Amino acid sequence: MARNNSRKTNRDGVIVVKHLRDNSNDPFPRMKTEKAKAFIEKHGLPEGFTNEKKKSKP
Amino acid sequence: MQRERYITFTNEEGNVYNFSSIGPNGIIEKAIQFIPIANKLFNLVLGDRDRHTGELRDDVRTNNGDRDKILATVAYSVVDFLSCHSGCIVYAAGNTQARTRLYQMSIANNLKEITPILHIEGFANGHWEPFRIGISYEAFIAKSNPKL
Repeated sequence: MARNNSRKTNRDGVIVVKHLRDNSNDPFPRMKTEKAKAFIEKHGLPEGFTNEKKKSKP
Repeated sequence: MQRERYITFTNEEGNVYNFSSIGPNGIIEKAIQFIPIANKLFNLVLGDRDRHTGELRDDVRTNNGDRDKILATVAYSVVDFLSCHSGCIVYAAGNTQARTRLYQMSIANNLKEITPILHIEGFANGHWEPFRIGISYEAFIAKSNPKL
């Protein structure tokens, strides 16, 4: 897998490979992500973790 | 991070980290996947890659004698993911209590090395709080340390 189409990075112990399988749509990851969404919707994010942009001062 | 961990293979998008667990039960292909939940918010999924279908699964207990090495690999993949995806947040919770405890151990075992880099909070007793060792959390959330 890593011998072809791969390149080392300066990130320690991380090798970038082309065409790696993305499992986002497999049943287990999909189910887990639905649960995560429901959890975040119910409990929200901690203070300082929201992605809302800060309003600039006039 | 100085603890022993596996070399990981990632894609150009940097949302998958594959590695091989090596131990008495053989070589087991594992994957850590960061799946978008909302804008800049990602869910961490850790599982074994099915040998036949290639699908990511969580219902197998491999007991390959390398738990600490796997936990250090997961912790480092979160550090690497957040360093490559500026302003992003990672949410993690296990599918079972045992799996959530594993995530908790992953953070606790590597806390000294992680805290200068990441800000981590845990969810317990109905609220989020900065991660503390010895508390049983239901879920975790991490982002790059704003002090960096």
